[in-house]
Amino acid sequence: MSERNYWTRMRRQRVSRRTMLGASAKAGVGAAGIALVGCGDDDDDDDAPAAVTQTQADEDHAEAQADQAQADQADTDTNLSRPAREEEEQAAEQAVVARLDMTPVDGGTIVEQSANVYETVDASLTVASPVIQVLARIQSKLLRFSNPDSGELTGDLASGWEIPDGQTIVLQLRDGVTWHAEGPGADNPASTAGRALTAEDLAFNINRQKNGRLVDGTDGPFGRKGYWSSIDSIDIDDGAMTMNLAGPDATFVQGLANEFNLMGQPELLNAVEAENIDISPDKVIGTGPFILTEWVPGEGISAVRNPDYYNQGARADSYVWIQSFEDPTAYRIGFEQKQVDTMSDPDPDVVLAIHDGLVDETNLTFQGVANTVAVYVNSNLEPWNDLRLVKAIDLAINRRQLIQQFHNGLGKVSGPVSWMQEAWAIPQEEITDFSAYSVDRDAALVEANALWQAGGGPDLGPIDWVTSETWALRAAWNSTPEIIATMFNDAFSTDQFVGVTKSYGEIIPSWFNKTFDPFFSWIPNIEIPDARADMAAAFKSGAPGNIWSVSEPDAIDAKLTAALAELDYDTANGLIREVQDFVIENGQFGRCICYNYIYPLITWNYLHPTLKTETEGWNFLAASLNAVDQWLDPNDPSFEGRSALSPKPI
Amino acid sequence: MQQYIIRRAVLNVFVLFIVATMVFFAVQVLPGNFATQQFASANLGGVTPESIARAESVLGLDKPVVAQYGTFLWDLVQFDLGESFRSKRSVWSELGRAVPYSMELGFLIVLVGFSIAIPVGILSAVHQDKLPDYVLRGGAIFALAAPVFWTASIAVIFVLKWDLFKIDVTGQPHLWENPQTALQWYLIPMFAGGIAGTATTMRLLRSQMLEVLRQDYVVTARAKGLRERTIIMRHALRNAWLPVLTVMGLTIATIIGSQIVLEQMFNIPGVGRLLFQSIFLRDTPLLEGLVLVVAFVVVFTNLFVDVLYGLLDPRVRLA
Amino acid sequence: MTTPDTSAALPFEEHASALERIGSGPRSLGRFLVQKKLGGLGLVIVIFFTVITILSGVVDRYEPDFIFDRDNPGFLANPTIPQLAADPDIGSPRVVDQFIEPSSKHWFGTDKFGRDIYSRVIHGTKLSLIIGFGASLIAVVSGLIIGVVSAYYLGWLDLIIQRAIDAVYAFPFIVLILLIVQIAEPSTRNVVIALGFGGIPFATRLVRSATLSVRGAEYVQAARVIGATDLRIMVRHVLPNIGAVLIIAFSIGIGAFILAEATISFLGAGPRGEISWGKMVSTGRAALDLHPWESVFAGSAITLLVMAFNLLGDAMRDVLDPRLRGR
Repeated sequence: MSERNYWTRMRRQRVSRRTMLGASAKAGVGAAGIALVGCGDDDDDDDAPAAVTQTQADEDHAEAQADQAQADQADTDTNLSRPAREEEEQAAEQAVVARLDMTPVDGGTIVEQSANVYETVDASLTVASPVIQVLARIQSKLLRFSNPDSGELTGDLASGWEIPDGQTIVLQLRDGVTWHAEGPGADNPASTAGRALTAEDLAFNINRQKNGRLVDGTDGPFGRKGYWSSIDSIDIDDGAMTMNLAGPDATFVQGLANEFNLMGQPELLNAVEAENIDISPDKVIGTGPFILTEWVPGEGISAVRNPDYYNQGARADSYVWIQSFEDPTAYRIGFEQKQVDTMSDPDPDVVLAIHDGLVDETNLTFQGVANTVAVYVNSNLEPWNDLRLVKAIDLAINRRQLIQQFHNGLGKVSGPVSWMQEAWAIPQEEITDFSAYSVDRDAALVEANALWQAGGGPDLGPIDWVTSETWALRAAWNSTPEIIATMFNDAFSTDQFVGVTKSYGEIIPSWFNKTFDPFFSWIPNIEIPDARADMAAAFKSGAPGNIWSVSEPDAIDAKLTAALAELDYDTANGLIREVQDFVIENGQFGRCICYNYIYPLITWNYLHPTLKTETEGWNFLAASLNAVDQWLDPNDPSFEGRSALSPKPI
Repeated sequence: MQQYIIRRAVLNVFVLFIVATMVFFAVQVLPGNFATQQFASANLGGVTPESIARAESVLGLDKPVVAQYGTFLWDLVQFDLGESFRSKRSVWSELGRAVPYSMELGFLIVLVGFSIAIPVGILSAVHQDKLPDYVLRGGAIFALAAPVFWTASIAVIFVLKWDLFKIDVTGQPHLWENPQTALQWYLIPMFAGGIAGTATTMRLLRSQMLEVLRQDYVVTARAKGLRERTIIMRHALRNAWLPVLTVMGLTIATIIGSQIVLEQMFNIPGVGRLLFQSIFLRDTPLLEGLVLVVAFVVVFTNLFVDVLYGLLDPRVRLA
Repeated sequence: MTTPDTSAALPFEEHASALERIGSGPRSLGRFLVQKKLGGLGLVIVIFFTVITILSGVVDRYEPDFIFDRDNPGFLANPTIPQLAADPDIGSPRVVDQFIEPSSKHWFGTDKFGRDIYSRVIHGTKLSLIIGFGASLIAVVSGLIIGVVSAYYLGWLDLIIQRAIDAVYAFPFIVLILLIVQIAEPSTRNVVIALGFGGIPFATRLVRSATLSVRGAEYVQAARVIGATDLRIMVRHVLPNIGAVLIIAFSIGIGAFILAEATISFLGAGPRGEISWGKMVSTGRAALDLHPWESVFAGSAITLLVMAFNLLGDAMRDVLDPRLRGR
């Protein structure tokens, strides 16, 4: 069940993506979440689990073919000639297949861009993905996503798993995994270099986060404490770990593959905990494909291959991350001069421009992005406690125009559940039934204005609308506050709306205090394909993420609770759908989701990434996927000129 | 002379004290601090007020302002600039890395700039209000008026599109390590900055030359039949250049820390870029240290230039 | 004549001493334009931009914030990612007119958000002129007051003031502006004040040395002898003689401050809610090869206006300083 063959097969069958994803999403949730046996290691050839999913896949394949016929029909309707398109697609497929079939070559240093600031060395204590982007190559998780689109799971530190009932998960732990034997972390006297990974190590990580206590007894900022609290107890028995959940939770197993759930070595974690915000490489040890050798915020990070990695081993000799360029000119110079091997940007403009000029030497992959863009309105306080005003705002947001402006059209509108969690999202063809997402903007605006007037909007005086600094400081997006203000002013034929910027450092605490100003920017990431936990966190009464104080025991709470425990996908999906419909009818209660965008990742041809085709996959999951399979081809014609300039030693 | 130097030096220390106080309280008044700004650069997860508060206490940001000010001054007197919040390296160490780059860039900018400004200044003075003056001055003024970031952006695109030469934004070699690569890296910024940065010098030289050229001794020299060239170089220039020297000194003094835009665009890890980053990150020790060092350079270069001026110009007596 | 010791001996002292002999320059505008052709050119350009600002509502062709878009009848309700990759507009019922090339409909083309660049350049004139004039005015007037007072009274007052001035001067300029703008909110008014404040040291020094030279002059001493008040002396005798310095500093300062504002806006810290040429240059610059229009036209506008003020300033200096007039 290797990911490579799966993709090739799907592509060869020219199955329409939506259908395939819908099918395998069900399979993913169903099979992986509910199936009796989980698909393990890539090397293991388990026929039994394949059989379970295969029948379903066969059924869906028939459905898919019907859909394909429909899609083809749509193609002709949109003036694209079939023969030309087919030719193009076949050529593209052949190119893809050709690249897929190349034999990987070992060696080389891969250079990427990294973030600028890191708040801790401990994955359990971080809430921010820059830290994870580094640690994901150094440490391992229990499970990981082999295919983030479908939610297909595969083993990492666990070689296989079983789910005998809705409340129990039994993990078979992999043999022969050892902690790094060399590097600053291994040389640290507080760590034990090279020893075998034990079940106790894993249990320590889990219980530590569950209890949420630091060594000194105080509460620590453990971001996944709520998640791990679903475990009531852990039994360890002869190479297997049994998790006994407190209650039935169908979403739990996917969470094991959550990017943040990296496992650290207990003795080192304890020893460095007091100084975990002091970044240095000797505080990190892992079981992953790379060993951390340097970590200097503001300068760079480097890692070298772990010769003892349990999997077929990493390809590249080492990784170097250089500090984020921050300036688009510098980034562009860096990429075009082959000093970084990849480049991406939420604004696809520059990346597309570069690819245009270097079409034959660079490769574009389009990735859906888990950072959702939303408008937050504070329905706790005047004047927004009048839901008519909130709904007016929701209707007035010109989502599609924003996608056009900021992302050149690369994006899709999202409802309360983003389209990235496709198995749970309202399908794109159906979401247009809602005024806020309607294609007929004029009608929506009529409704919006009626609500605005009814709620007394024109009497509100000047309204400050906040965009985050991180968004507005991007060179190409520096007039965002004005764009948002204009959008609302035009919608309501007024001049009340004024755009301002604030840093997340000010914005986030105000969310928790429920004193926040109206807002437009990114909101917290989606982390797994299953949307139920996110919906519960946002809308369940009293949930920590429910900063709008939504309290709907019948319409929302009951349904969410039922959905979380529900093992049958169709039933669960139905419930979530009902909740979403209700939420949208109420102006999303102020949590007005706008869209998720897609961005192109450009790489030089000499870099072969793991995700070899376009995916709907999440950008930050790519870190652990790429760690193993990404490789450099020095024989590729584009490689010329690369070795001449190399990053300076850190 | 000695008394003068000593007195000026003492006054300079007083000035630096004012600068230190200014920057300290400016940072205090800025909304947010390093703890809150950390999450600004990151993607969002479950950030809580507790995690921010915890970070603040570790950094010592929750102590009362007066106490922090006291610690700050006390450390300063011992030349202890503290550690950067972000990299945890000492501020002196960060400076040690950044200053050489800024000096290199500054040196090159000044080199380019004065190589252009001085001939242009002289020539346009000599041919005042005639065609060469118009062309040169017009051209120079046009170049001086074009924003540095604009010309640099355009130049970069040309270099990339036509693959003219390599700009090493990640290797970042020093001039002495790898002169050719370094020079290529600095090429666009030094011309963009050089052309723009020496406006005052050119103008001043021109006006000084104009004044001198009308002096009696020049008229006499002409009457004596000396060649124009000799007059200009030997007599006029020698008397005109002293004030220009002062301004050149001032330009050099302020060049460190003023090249923020160019350093950002070309990823030059110099003082300017560090200053800019530390403002947005609220990296207080780094910001304070950098500002103080830049101020130190400015005031003591001024002193040096004044002393030089006093030594070179017999008409000036420094009391 | 002793040179004052409590600050850098600027060349302007030498310069200023000659201002005692202020004579008359070309008194009529016409003669100015003829004699100082470059200055004349500068003046014409400045007037041109000022007129444009006043008439911006008329001269612009569209609202600067209006977003142009067009219908896309062939859109799909649910495109796949490969479909979007091949044609990003396929998912939008209405397509924004991004990055349109200069044409008869859009003389300078459109920007990333679908707005007409020509209209935005026209409206951007206002901010540049306001900031240029405003900051220069603040710097010169403050410099005038502080410099005259400081130089006239000397002694301890002078000492303290000069140290404060030195401190502001030693502070890295852009950092000073960024800090002030971040502490107060980034409005036009605050940027003007911040820039003006940053320019005070230079203006003060200028005024101070000019005042010092005048101060020692005979007519001033004579006025003292007959008992004129300090204020009267300052206003009646000192002021007119340093006027030339002020005018020159003012006009050259405008150009410098316009560039400074463009730089700050380029870095993202400029006035919010206003159209700024510096910001426009920054928006379009990374993909200059595909759509240079915004950067090119905004950058040209900055260059032209700054150049005009510099030419004007230079010409005025030539005129007002008798030593520099042509043969």
